[in-house]
Amino acid sequence: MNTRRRHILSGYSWLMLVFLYLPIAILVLYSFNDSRINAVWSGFTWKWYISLFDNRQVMQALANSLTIGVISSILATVLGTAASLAIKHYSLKWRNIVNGLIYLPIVIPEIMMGLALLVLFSQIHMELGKATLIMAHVTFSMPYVMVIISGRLADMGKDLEEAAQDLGATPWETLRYVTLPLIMPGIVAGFLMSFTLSLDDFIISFFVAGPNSTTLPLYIYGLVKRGVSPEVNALSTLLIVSTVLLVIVAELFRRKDSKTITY
Amino acid sequence: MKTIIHLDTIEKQFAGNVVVPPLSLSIEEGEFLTLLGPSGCGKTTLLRMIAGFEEQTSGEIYLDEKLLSHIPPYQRDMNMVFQQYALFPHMTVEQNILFGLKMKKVSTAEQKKRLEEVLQYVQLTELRSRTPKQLSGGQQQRVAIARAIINNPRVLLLDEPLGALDYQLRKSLQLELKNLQKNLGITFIYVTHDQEEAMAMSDRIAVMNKGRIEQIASPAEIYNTPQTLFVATFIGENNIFRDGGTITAVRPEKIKLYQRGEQTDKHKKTGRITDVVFLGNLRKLYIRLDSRDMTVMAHQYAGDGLDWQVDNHVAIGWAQTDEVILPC
Amino acid sequence: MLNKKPVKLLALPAIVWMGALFVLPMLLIAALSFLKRGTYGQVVYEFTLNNYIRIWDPLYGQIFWDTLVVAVLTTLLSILSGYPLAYYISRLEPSKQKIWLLLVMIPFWINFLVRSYAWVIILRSQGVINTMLQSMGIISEPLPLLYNSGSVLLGMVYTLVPFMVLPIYVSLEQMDRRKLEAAYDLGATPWKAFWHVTLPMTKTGVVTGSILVFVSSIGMFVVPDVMGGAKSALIGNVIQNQFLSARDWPFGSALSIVLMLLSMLLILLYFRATKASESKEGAV
Repeated sequence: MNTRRRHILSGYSWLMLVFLYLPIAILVLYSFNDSRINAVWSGFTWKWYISLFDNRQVMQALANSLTIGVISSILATVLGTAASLAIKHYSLKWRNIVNGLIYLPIVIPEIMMGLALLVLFSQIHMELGKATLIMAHVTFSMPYVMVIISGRLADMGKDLEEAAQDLGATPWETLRYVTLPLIMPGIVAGFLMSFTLSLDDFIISFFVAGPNSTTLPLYIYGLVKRGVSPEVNALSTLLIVSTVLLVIVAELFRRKDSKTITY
Repeated sequence: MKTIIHLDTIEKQFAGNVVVPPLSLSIEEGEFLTLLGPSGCGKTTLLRMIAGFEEQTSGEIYLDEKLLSHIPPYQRDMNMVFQQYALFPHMTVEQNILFGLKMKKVSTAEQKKRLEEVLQYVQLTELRSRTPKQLSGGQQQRVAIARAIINNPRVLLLDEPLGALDYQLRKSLQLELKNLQKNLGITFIYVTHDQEEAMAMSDRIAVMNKGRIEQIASPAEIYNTPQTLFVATFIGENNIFRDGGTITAVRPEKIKLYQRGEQTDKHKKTGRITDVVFLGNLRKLYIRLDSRDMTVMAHQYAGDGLDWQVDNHVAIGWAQTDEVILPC
Repeated sequence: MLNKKPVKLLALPAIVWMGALFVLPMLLIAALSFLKRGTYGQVVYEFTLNNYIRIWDPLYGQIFWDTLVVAVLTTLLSILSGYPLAYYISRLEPSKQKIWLLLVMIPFWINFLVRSYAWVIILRSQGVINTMLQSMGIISEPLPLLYNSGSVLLGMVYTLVPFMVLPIYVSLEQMDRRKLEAAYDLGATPWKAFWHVTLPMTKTGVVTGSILVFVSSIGMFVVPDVMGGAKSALIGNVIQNQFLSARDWPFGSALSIVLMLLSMLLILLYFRATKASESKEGAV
């Protein structure tokens, strides 16, 4: 590749980054804009954030999001970790079948999953609310947990588990003293990923939420439909900041894992 | 000598493919037995069946005359040294070595005592609180051995334990391992594809090919009187002469060279030297036979006074006691 | 092996969970699509094919067509804009690659809704661009930048392009560089080498990325909802509407089944097409 071509490519790539980040940056910037009415900058303020904390609906939505996020990610992580540990021991045929079942939600349009769950809950007369949201969130985040943990387990290979058994550890002792400590960074990363997915989810939650279980994205949607306002900017900024932090921390855990394994 | 492990017509199939056809083998207490063969010959599968990681499709395994077949690996009184060592990366050297005793709920005082002994023995006392990735390959190998022998196993299984190390280190560790085995008196079952390693360490070698044991004997016997064509060609170099229904093998160092017309033994053939390869203490001569499409190898040692050159026409022969007749 | 049996059972809760909350609901939708709707929006348990017949109405045909056009355009634009970026990242030194990948990944995790909304701030008539242009005196009336099919397309590419960059990057990373060197060695120009060596060898990445982008865009309703006008409704919006406002669940189910079959069919065709061109190249 000659230098000129390299410069064009690098310039283009930086432009793509600008394209990806500029709208987000503008959104964040305007959450600090003193003026309510238009896009003109009229001074820095924290007041939209302060007003959020005084808004009972916002606080309720935040509390809902956090409750649903924590419970659903714990469930998804426990179910996903257990399944990954088991599937490793399956024959190739069964592994493909079970993986197919569990990974399918990743390639099905989200809207279908949302309405399918809505139909299910209405058929079994389950009232829409936090419980239905938690169940839905576990369903869509479990595959992601499994992708991460299965990857860690594959990197680990079977040698270490065999070595433990060879030294007298029963299968459960092997799990406790060798496998779990070694995949722990993956489990933490999986938990953080599923928490992020839950905190962020709009489409599926849109179908299965009840009147008293509004989450942050659902609340933001309600505001967005009414138009641009500095409160939405501030609330969106909070959601963005927490997502970015969660993703970075999860990524650090995931990378830490691979460092421990390859020595 | 007492039999410690007995394999009674064990067979292994993977998804209908026979990897190890029915095979019986007795291993004696305190011996250093090597399973030697090319990759894919079934030697690792055999070792893993003894360890309990693979279940045989049929047949039985006995340890000290007790049936071992359906006992899981963690209840078998033997330990394994893995090819890549399989040290626990999240534990220190000390924790790695103590793992087996902890699992067997040995008292803390006993653990401490045996740990010190073993650390001393493998010279790892100073490195005890390091983690595996802070160690060199040779040091990791010592930890793997220490972690196994601290349990005083009846049998130590070693799966190409030197395979990951460089040539020099491998050489010196071969001797160390052999001495370790002598001093501890533990039975070693050692898997390798390196014949030199097998020769240097073993009491007996089982040469394996396509899941079968071709021959099991002392290194000298394997070398001097191979029983099959595979053993004759896999171990060391050999000249194979096919005459009608018989196959005759003669080692290159047993081939004698003469000037044309000189008085020789009855196995006289003539040919032309095509290549001379100088290897320090010996020279390898390649002789193209006149009578057939075959190249014979002969070794000439330094100081025998003869100076053969390429294109010399020579006669070759050997003593009848130096030839091995092989079954077809 | 016997001693591994208890471990194997650990997958059971997850399998039961996915069966009950994923497979079963999907089957319910399929069943629902053959039932009738009552006067008050309830489901009447009688078999009918009417829901599928109704889809042939030109009104829905048009929307399906629009959805496909938007999805295909989104996929194409994502390939065009994502490939060079992925290529650039794969040529960086490893430590920089990690940072760039993280930078591409972060927007992908940020909420769709929030990211579409960010564009509304920029594009609306009192938005950043219009305000700026007006204050500079370039325009007197705000430009209609939002609520049209162009803005929907922009929003779709914006939200989905990370899906394209990551798989292409992976396939570029796994590519055997020696083949490229061999091409140069044989006198290929950089452009020819790219066209005949790099591109065919990274086809897997392009295919994977395309499927991810296509599947996500075909069922998308957030972006058109936030950035599009009444005329730019896509099939996702219609389905959403059938379930939440019109309360015609059987018809909504039929629409979504057709949507799913259509997207599977197109993915299959796409697979076939790329496979076919691959074997053609193999023969050359």
